[in-house]
Amino acid sequence: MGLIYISHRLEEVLRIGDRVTVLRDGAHVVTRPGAGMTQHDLIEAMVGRKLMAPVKTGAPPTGDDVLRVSGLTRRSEFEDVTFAVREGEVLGLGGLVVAGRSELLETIFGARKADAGTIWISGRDVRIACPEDAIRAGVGLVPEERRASGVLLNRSVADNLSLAVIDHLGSGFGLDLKRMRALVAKQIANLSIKTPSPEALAGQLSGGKQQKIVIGKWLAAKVKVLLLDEPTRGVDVNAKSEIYRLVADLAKSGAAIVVASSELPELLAITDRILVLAQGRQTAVLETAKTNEVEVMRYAFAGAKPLAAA
Amino acid sequence: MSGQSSLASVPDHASGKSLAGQTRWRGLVSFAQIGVAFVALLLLGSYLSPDFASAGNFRNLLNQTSILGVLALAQFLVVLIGGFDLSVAAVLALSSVIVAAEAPHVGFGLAGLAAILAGLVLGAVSGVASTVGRVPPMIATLGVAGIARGLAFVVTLKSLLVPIAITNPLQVTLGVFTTTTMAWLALTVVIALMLEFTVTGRRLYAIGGNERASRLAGIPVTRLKIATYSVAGGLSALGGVLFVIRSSSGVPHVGAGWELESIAGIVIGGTQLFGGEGNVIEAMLGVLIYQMISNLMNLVAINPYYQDIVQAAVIVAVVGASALRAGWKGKRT
Repeated sequence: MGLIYISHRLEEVLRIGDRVTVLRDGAHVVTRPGAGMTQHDLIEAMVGRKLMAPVKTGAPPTGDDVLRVSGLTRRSEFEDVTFAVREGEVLGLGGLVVAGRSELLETIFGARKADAGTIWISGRDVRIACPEDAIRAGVGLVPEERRASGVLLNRSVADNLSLAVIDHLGSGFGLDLKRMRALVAKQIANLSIKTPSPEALAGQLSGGKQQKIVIGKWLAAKVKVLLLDEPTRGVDVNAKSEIYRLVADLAKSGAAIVVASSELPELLAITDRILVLAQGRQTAVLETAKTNEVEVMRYAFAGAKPLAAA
Repeated sequence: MSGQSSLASVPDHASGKSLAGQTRWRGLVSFAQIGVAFVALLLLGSYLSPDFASAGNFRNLLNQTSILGVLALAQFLVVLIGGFDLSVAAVLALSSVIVAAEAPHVGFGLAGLAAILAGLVLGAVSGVASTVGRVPPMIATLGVAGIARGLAFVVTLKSLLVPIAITNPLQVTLGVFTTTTMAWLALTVVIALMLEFTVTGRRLYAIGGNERASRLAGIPVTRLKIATYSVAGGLSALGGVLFVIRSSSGVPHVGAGWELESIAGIVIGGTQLFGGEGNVIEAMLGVLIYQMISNLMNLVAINPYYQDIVQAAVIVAVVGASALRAGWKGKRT
């Protein structure tokens, strides 16, 4: 009987496989006998996509910590994560899809409940039990599933952009529609969202524009910390570079940014440092300018011991 | 890169004009559709029955529609946030017997307040069960309907008559508008304004459109959903108060089928069955259209059993059509 064994646990692959095949972006890279192959060989075969020109240049910022996370834990998802992001800094969150990146971001944002750990925003110990708490503390999240969790497809661009700040747009009993329109117009101009009208339905726009609207929602809320989860998934090349530009601009204006991405070239181009998660454990914090794909991947595959199930 | 960028945006620009037009006209078109159906039915009615287009019949028609209309307002709010309320009719019945039993002792106003309070509480129970308790709204509200109906029969097994001296001063007629009609129309206006011009109104649409995204945008989804169910319960109870004003009686078994009829009415009025879309004024026109069909069948003296069949078929047809349309839209976007 022949057996095909698919796994992201490299030591398993090497121990079990007589022959090992590596695929990348749906294309065949290499097939070799497992004997004599090392994890490092496998990783080298897995990386090697074209690198992008860095968007984030210059030395890493040295200002104050805006977001500080200590010992953050959610049983069976991630454990004891500790890091800080400075004013103007972009921290990348690398690792395999199952590493717990989305879970970590959603926990910082209060959409999941932490089992242990502390979060400081601008030096203040904050308790974040729900997204409202996070937003009040100045944290925004651009979630992974844009259509399911990010954008309201059957609401207008204006409604989407004002969603996170709408409770500040009241005037006595009603909504201050004039202020709302001004705020929306400002964001549409800032982000150069090409929409036929602020009243167009978000669902009728392209994926890239929808993503810009989701980011714009947090710019309108003037967040101090923006968490982005796979922000360029499913958007076209131009929208991608616009989103990178937006992230860099936001950092320049003093925000602290955390970007989770499966695309290594993207992480290497837009971040100052990269935190690598492997199966829910933090395995490294690397300075982007001094690292490369192979090193990040090595840490992504490190820490093979899985978390105990809750 | 800039060359690429302008190339890539060509398709969007090309469709931009028609898109803007679409948006601007979207509201008017849906309103026009319902308006056309409404006028067509008016013409058909005048053709079929000489009695149809009379002030007396219009007063009667509006008066008949008003109480179902108030229930439909409750239903609209719950459907808007992505739920269903199958308890509206039972809460109305409970409210009517509370008012009828207590009004002679404590006065109509206090009895009405007590009934509305009961409705608010029962609605909140549905809300808590369907959010915190994760019970599907259909089941939660069906359960509350059973509780409300049971309580109504605990109050009285048979219809309770209210002394005319109590209700008579409340039965006012201005032109074709009775007390209940005026209450229904006023509530419709208040809710329409609330939905369009308040923070809460915008948030209700957002929750119905995408609950998870709303939660992740900091909207207190659970709290607002419970409040909406509670308000729907209060509105249903207010329907019971109006029922007593109209009929001078409290009836524990009243309202069989009204929960489905309220859904059918708002769906005829273009409300999206699965939440997030709809205009309350159009929804109320839908309820009026639904009621006109039955009014017409009465006028041309169709056998009541056949009327039931026609109405049931209308309910299934409009709800089915709405579900199909939602399905198509889901595939398209």
